[in-house]
Amino acid sequence: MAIEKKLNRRDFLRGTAIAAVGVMAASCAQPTPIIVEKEVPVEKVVKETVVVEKQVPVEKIVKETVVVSKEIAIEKVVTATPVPPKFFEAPMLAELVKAGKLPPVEDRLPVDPMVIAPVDTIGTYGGTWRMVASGTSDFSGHSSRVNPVEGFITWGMDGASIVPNLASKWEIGDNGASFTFYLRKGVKWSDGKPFTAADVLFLHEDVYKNTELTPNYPGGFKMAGEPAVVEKLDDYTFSIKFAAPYGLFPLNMAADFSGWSEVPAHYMKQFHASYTAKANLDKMVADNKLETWMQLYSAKGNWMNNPEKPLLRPWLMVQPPPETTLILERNPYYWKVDPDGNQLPYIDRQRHTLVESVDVINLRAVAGEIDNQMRNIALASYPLYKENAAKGGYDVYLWKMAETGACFFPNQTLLKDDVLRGIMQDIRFRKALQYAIDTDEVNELHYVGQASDMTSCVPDELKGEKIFEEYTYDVAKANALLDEMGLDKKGPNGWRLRPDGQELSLTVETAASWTTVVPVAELVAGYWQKIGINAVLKSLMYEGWWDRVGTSEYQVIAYLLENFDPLINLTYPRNYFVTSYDCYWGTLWGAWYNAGGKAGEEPPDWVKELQTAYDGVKGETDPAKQIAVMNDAFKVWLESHNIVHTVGRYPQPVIVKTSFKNFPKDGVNGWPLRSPGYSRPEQYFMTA
Amino acid sequence: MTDEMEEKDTRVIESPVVDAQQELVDASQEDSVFVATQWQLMWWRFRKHKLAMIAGVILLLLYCIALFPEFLATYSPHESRKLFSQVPPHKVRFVDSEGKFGLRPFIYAYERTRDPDTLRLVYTPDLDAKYYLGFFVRGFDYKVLGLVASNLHLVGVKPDETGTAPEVFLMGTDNLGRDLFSRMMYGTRISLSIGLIGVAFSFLFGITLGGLSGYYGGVADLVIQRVIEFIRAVPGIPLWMALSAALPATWPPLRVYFGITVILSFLSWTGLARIVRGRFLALREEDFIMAARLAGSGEMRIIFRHMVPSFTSYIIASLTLSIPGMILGETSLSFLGLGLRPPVISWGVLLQGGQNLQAVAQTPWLMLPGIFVIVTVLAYNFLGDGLRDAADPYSR
Amino acid sequence: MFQYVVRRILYMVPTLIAVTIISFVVIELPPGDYLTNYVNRLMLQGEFLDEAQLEALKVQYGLGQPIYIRYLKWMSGVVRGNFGVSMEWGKPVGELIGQRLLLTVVISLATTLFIWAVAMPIGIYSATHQYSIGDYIFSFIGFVGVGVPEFMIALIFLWVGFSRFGVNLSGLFSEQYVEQGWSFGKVVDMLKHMWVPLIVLGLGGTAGMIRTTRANLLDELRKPYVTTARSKGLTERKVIWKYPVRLALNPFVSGLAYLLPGLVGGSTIISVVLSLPTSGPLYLKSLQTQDMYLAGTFVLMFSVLTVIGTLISDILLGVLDPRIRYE
Repeated sequence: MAIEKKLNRRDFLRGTAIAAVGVMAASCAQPTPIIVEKEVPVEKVVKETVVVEKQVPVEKIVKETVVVSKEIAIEKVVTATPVPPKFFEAPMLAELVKAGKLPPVEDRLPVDPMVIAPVDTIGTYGGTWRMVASGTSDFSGHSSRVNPVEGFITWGMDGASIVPNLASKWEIGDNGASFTFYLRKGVKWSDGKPFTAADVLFLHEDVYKNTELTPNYPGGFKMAGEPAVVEKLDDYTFSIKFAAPYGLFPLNMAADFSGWSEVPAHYMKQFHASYTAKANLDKMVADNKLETWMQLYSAKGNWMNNPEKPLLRPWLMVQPPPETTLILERNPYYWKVDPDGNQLPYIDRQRHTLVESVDVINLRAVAGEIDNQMRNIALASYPLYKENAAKGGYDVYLWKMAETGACFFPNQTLLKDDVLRGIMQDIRFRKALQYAIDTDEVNELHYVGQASDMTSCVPDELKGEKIFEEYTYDVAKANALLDEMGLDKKGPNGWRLRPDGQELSLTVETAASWTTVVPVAELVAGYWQKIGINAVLKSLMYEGWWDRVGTSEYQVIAYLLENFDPLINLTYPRNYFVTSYDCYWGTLWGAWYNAGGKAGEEPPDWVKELQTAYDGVKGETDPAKQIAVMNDAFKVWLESHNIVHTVGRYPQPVIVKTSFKNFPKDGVNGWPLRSPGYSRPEQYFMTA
Repeated sequence: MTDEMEEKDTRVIESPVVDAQQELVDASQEDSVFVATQWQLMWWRFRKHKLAMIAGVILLLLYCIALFPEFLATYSPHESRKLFSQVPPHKVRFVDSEGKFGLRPFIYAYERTRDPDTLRLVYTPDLDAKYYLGFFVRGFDYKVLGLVASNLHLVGVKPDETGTAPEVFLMGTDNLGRDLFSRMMYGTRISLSIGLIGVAFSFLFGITLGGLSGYYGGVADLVIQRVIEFIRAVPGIPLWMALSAALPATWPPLRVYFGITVILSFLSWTGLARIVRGRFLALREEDFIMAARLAGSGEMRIIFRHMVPSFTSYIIASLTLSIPGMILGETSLSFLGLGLRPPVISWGVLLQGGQNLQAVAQTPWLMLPGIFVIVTVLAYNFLGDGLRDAADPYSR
Repeated sequence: MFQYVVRRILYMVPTLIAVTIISFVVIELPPGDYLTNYVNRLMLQGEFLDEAQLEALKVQYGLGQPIYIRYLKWMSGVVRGNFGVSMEWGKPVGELIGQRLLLTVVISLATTLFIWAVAMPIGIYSATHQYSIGDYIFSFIGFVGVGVPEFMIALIFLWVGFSRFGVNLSGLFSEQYVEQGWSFGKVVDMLKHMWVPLIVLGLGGTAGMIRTTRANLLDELRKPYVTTARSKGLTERKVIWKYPVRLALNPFVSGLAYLLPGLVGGSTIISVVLSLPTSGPLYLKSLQTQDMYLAGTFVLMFSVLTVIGTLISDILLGVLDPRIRYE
C-alpha cells in the first residue's frame, strides 16, 4: 500500500463510494451514531462492509476490494463518536436565553446533533460576512450556495462522497427500488417546532401530488412512469419506494432534490387549500394582491421574500428585498455543532449587497468590501484582484471549475441540410475540426494560461487510452483528414467545396450572454477558416435559444461541458448519454430517448449503447459500479469524438479576506456541489 | 437617448445664428454676391467658420478610413495572437535609447513576460530590437472596395538585416491579441455608415410624413401628429429591445446591421418630421407660395420647386446634427447588449471590450475607440453648427 | 386656453391607451418569458432548477395565458391601483417603485438644478461673447460632454476614485451607513457620494443646454426690438436681461416634457454603472428579465409623465411667451 502516492480526486471517489456503504452498515449496527470524520486505512472499511451489510452481495464488494486496495492509500471514513458532553452558543443567543426569549441551547439542539469537523481550527463566534450580488435572482442562486439548503443526505467535504445530514442514516432495499431515511431526532425548525417525517409527507402528498400546485408530478421521482410512494414509518422514519430500481436516487438527493427539507408543514398548511377554509384563503390572496391560492402558497414558501417562513438553514433572512442590502442572521435552532460542542454557525450574520453591475462587484472586491465570494469573480480579472490584494486586505484562492473550457458540438442530427449532416456524422470531419484548434493559444488568450488540458477531465482509468493526447494542434493533419473525405476541391473564394458543389461553410451558434464562450468561439471560427471551412460565428440573444435547439437546424453550437466528472455529471447526463433534446450534438437522438421513441429520430447503435448504459446506471445502486458503467460509456463517447474541445478545467478565483478562516484553500466550483456550500459555510469564521 | 439628442438639436436648429458684426463677404466678392446662387452664398459663409472647416476636413479623413480600411489597417482585424494579447500601444519613436534623433520613425520590439504572481502580462520594450516603420508596405491580401485585389498597406514594420520583423500595434491589442488599430479602421466603416444610412432613412420618413402633415393639415396632420406623439411617448429602451429582438436569429450579420440601422432611424425620424412640418406650416402662408399658387402651379411643383429648396439648407444642417446621435445610439445599443455582435466590428462592439473595470484599470488603451467616437461627434457638431450658420438666408 | 387644455387632455386618452397596449406588446415581443429568462440566468452560473421548482414557478407567475388576457387582467388591476407583483422580486410593483422613488427624485432634481445652474450662465456668456475664446472653449467642452459615451465616463470615475483616492464611489452610501436608518450622518454621507452621479449625469445634459441657450439668445439678440432698445440708450445689461434672456429660456421650459419622466427614471445607463439605488437600474433590469408587470408599470408611468409633461410645458410656454397662441 503506497502511502506516499498522492491521492487524487478519482481515487477518492472510488474509496468513498465504498466508504458510503460502510457508513450505512455502521449505522445499522449502532442506533445513535454521532458522525465525525477520521482517517482510517481502507481495508478496515471493507472488512466492516463484508461483516455487516446485508443488502449488497458479498461477491461484489470483494471484487471491488481487489481494485480498491491497489489504488487507495488513505481514506476518510465516517465513524460514530460520542456526543460532546456540553454545548455552547453564540453570545448574541446567550443574551436572548438570559432574557427568557429563547430556550437554552441544549433544548434547541437535537438529541444527536450533527458534528462538523472544522477545516482548520475551532472557530470563534461573531462577525458579518459581506457579499455582493447583482440582483435578487443572483442572490437567490448565490444564497443556495453560501446558506445552503440542508438535504437529508449531502456531499462530504471532499466534494465526492455522500454523507448523512438531516438523516443520520439511510438504507437501500429492493435492489435499489426502495429507500428508508432515518431523521435525526429533535431537529427543530427555526421557529422551534420539530422537524419530522410529517413534513416530508406533507410535501409529497399535498404539494407534489396536488395538481393545482404541481401540474406535472416531478419527473425526478418517477420510475417506469410511476410516481414514488412515500410512507411514514414513525415520526422520524420514512421510506420512498419506486416502481423500478433507482440507483441514482441518493446522488440526486444530495445534488438536486434538496428542496425536500424546505417545507415546514405546520407553517405552510395555513396557505394550503386542503387545510384552510376558502374564505380565509381568499382574504389572504386579496391582501397580498395575488390571484390564486397557489400564488399565495408559492409566495409564502419563498424564504427570500417571506422572513416568517421557518427554515433549517444556518442563517435566516431578517432584512428581505426590496431593500438592496439583504441581511441574514444566525438560526438559533441550527442543529449542527463543532467537536467542542459549539453550536454552529460561527458567523453571526451575512450581508448581501445588491448592486447593478458586475463592475461594481469587482470594485467592491478590490476595495476589500467583500469578505469571501467566488460568484461573479472572474478568472479574466485575476490580475486585477491580485494586484490590489494587499491594499484590500484579502487573498485570492484558486479553486477549480467543475466545467470544461468552451466546447463545440457539431450537430449530427442536422435537419434541412443532408449533405452537411453526412459530413458532420463523419468522425474524420470532427477530428479535423479538433486538430485545427490551437488549444494552447486558447488557453493563453482566454484562460490567462491557467487552464489544464482536456486530459484533466478524463477519468484516470481511461487516461491510458491516450484519447486526448493525440489531438494536438496540427493543421496539416486536419487538412489531410478533410482531403481524405473528398472535401479537397476549392471554390472561387478559397473555401473547400462539399460533394454537392456548395461552399463548405459552418455557422457556429452561441448565446451572446455566455460571455466565457463567445471570445473562444470567435477564435475557433478563425482556426476553422484556416483549414478552408467558411466558419462564421453567430451569437444569438439567449431568449430564443431553446426554440432554436429544438428545431435541430443549427450546425454547430458553442457551449461547454458542465461538471465533467463521472459521479457529478450523472446528475446531468444529457451530453454524455444523449438523454434529452438538449444534447447539443444529437438533438433528435436525445429527443427520441426522452420520448421513449415517440419523437425525434432513432439513433444509430453506438448511440443506443450510450443510452442503454444510462439505463444501467440508473438501476445500479453501488456508486462504484455506477462509475464503472459511466467510464465504459465514456470510452465509447470519447472514441466517437462527438465534441470538439478546447481546454479542460480552469481555475475559479475566490476572494478571501485575511480575517476569514476555515475556508478551504482548494476546492471545486460546481452547481451539484453548491460550491462553496459543500465545504460547510457554517464552520467558516471571522477574526476581528 | 437618441430622442433627447434629437430634441436638443431641433431646438437649436430653429434658431439661426447670425452675427451682425461679422463681415461675411469681402469686398472683391461684393458684386458677385447678387448673382451668386444660394449654394455659393452658403459656401462663402461656411468658409468663415474655421472650426467647422476643420471639422469638415476631419470628417472627410474619417470617411476616407471608412472607404479604405483595408489599406490603412496594418493587419487583418480578426487575426489573433497567442503571444501578443493585451499589448499596450507601441510608441512610435524618433529618438532612440541613446538619445540619437532620426527622421525615420521606429519602434522597439516588445518582450513578453507573465507576472508569476499576478499573472498579468507585461510587455517591455527591448532596446536592442529597433525596427523602422515603412510606408506602403506589402501585407495581407484584400480587395479595394471589394473590386481591385491588392496587398498594399499604409504602414508596416521593415524587416531588419536578418529578415525578421515584429508586428507593430499602433493602438495595442485586445484580450485575444487582435490589433486594435486595424479593428478601429474596419469598425469605422460600419459605425460611420450607420450614421449616414440611418439618417437617410429618417430623412425619408421625416420629410414625407412631416411634409404631408404640414402641407395638407387637417386629418392627415392630426393622425401623423398623434403617431409622432405616440412614438415619442414610448420610452426608448423597451422599443430598442423589442425591435432588436424582432430581428430574426437566423439573419446573417450584415442584415442584422441593416436592421439595427433601420431601428435607429425609426426612433429618430419624428424629430425631423416635426421640423419639416413646422417649416411647411410657415411657408404655406408665405407670399411667394401664394404667388406661385395664383400663377397656377401644380401642387407637386409648389412643393418641390418652391417649398423644399427654401429649407433644404436647414434640413442638411439638421441631418448633420443628428448623425452623432446615431453613432452614440449604436454604442449605447452595444452597451445594452442589443446592438451589433461579434464577429461584426463596429465602434460600439470595440467599446464593449473596454467597458469593464479590468480594462479601465489594466488595459486602458481598449477605451481608445471612445476617443474616435468623441472626435466624430465633436466634428459633426461643429460642422452642423457651421452649416446652420451658413444656411441661414437672413445672415446677409 | 381652457378649451385648448381640455382638447389636449382628450387627445391624451387614446394615446395613452395605445401606449399601454404597445408597451405590453413590446415587452412581450422578445421570444421567451420571464421564466425562460430566469432559467437562462441560472444556467450562466451553471445552475439548474428541478422540474418541481419550475412547475411551481409557472403556476406562481400565471405564465402561459394568452397575452390579451394578461393585458386585460393587468389593466383592470392598474385602474384599481394594483400594478401586479414583480416576478423577479416577488413584491407588489407599487411597493418596489415607491421604495426607490424618493432617492431617484432627489438625484434627478439635483442633477437638473446643477445642469441649469451651469448651463444658463455659460449659455448667456457664449451668446453675448460669440466667437470669443471663452465661447470656443465652452463649445468645445460642451460637445465633448455630448460625445463621450456616458457609461465610459462613469467607469473611469469609479476607477480613478478607487485607485487615486482610495474611495469606492459606487452606490450612494459608504460601508458604515448602508445598514443604518436615516440620520444626519447618513444624509451627509449621501451628499458626499452624490457629486459623482451629479457630474457624470450633468456632463451630457449641460452641453446640450448650453448650446440651446446660446443659439436661442443669439436668435433673440438680432431681433429689431433689441436694436430699438439699444438705440434708445438702455444699458447693455438691461438690453440683454429684460426680454431676450427670458425668451431664450424657452428650451428649459420645453425640456419639462422630458424632465418629468427623467425625474422618475433617472439616467438608466449611468445609474447602472454607478449602481445607484434608484429606479433606473430597476427599470432596465425589469426589461431585460421580462419582468412583465414591473416593466409594464415603468413604461406606463414614463409615457404618462411624458405626455403630461408635454402638456404642462406647452401651457407654460404660453404663459412665458405671449406670442404663442393656442389655436
